[in-house]
Amino acid sequence: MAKRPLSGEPYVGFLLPATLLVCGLFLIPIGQLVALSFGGLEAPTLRWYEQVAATDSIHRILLTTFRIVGLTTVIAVVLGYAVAYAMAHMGERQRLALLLCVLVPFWLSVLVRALAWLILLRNNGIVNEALLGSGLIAAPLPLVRNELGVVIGMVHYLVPYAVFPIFATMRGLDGRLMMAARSVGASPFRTFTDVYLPLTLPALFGAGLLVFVFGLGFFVTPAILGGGRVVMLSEYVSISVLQTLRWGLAAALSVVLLVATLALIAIVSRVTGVRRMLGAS
Amino acid sequence: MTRSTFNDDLVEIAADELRAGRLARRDFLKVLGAAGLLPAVGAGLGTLPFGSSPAAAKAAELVLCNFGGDAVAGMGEAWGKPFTADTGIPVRVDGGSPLAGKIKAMVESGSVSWDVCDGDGFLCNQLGKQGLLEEVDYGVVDKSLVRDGWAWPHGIANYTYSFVLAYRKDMFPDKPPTYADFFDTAKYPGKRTMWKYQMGAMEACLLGDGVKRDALYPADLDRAIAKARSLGDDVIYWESGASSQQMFLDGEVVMGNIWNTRASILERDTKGAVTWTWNDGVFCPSSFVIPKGNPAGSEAAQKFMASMLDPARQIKLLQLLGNGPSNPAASAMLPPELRRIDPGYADNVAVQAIRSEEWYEMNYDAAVERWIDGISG
Repeated sequence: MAKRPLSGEPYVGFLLPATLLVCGLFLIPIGQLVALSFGGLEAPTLRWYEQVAATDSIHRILLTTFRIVGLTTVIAVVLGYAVAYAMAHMGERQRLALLLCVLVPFWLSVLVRALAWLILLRNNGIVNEALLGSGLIAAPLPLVRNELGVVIGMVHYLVPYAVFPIFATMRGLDGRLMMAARSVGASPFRTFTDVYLPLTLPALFGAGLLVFVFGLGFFVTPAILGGGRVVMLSEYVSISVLQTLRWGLAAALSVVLLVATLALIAIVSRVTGVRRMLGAS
Repeated sequence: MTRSTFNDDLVEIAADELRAGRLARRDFLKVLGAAGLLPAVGAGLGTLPFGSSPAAAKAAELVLCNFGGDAVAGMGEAWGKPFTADTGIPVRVDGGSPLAGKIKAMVESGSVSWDVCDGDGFLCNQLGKQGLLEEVDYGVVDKSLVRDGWAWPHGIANYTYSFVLAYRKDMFPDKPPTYADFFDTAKYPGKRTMWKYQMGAMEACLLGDGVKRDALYPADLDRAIAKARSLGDDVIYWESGASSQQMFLDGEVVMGNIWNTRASILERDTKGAVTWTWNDGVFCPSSFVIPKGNPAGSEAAQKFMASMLDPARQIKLLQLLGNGPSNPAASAMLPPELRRIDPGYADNVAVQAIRSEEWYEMNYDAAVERWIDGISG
């Protein structure tokens, strides 16, 4: 797509309401948050950032958060890629059925989904009861109320976010490229690794980024499926705001998270090219 | 998911009770009917006017702030209505959740809209020492009506609750478990549950580690955390009172350190399959405080604080919301069926630890953070 100067665009006016909305409802509060993290504008201080840097428990919580979200992202993207591939290449009717299967849980509230997993996976839940009843295991498997449960719940929530960008890219691919590869003697596997995968890789990264950023803010799922012992960053922020009234600390942590996320986006888009990542090629 | 406090939880229980038709509904219906605006305003903001006529509504009113939902109607019924009958001052109950931070923000900005606020006992000193509260006028409020030490310079105990050991009866048919049994997962397999936010749980850990209940404070938090961690995967921490109840109903846990209000409901709903012991419970006061510069003026608020200590009104609240009288005289007057559920009944108090408001005043904020850090990861 060729670049055109904005001044010639008749559509700039259409952007105005959305821009005002974003500035008013997003940028100004974010600015206040940043100010709060420095202890207000009158007497700026770095003490909250020093506390973030110096507190072991905060480091541990950050580490837990990044570990869980990283693992979740990898699993969700791999599963999402497989689902998108199937969706992109199956018949119209099957595609519709599969699309529904992805969308219906997508529409359910995060709370309902977490509770549903609890009913399935807890010690006396359906899965463990079935396995115990069939004699396959002697004691219930610890599937939930721990980190595994949190990852399962988060992957389930986030897979659709991986499926849709990847699916959009796959649908947009020119099928003749794969045919050309086959015609010059590439095996189906070779065609996939040398042609298909590189073409869909930016979407894969884009999906991964989306899932990762979403995952960082998870709150309900870890609280329910983690049995109280998996504390992620967003929960820690909430405790600091509601409970211990250390709003400066909460703001500093939020800013750290925001900056880390922006840095990550910058790195990934540098590697893959942000335009390709967003589906424009 | 936001953390709920004990006060929030009362509201939820009352709602469930009302739905299940077990609460004295006549009074509730009267209240609900009188306020045609309840669905519109009451559901969202939890406000309910108790003025009987428009003229009265225009007169000075007293705003009581608690943690919302049906405790709005409950406290209005038990304490607001009789106060209005005595003084002519309408009481409006606002379910605005008067957390410490909100009271602080309100007083500091000079726009106080609450006259009396509900909160844990140790908040009286915590906020009072920051100059955010009016002093209680003990010429008006009779401090001899509450237990020694529960009348603070800036607030007075309004009701009581306990953290108790609830358990499955089939596991302990002959005698209730102790906290030593609670931590003995080899002898008594199955998961346990405790509150995620330190209170009650810390005491349970210390009791399980051999600390005597009169020697809990000053508390050794590290020792408690080590004990909690010794449960490994055999503990699920509850977040809301409702979830603590649900874990027992689902058979996920066999023992738990939970609120007495939830324990008594569990016993009733499971027909005794789940029950609780008052032994080694942690008995806690809730309190009323007056934010500095409250709109109705100090006098009305002081009178209200004095009025809710009346034994009949205290018992009414126990009936409606399941929380105990802070006035021991009310506990002494209870009919037998209510004695079992009152944390403050003399026989029940005798076997419990009493939460140290001094310790929590000084240590709670730091303790809850270290606790969360200690039990996670």
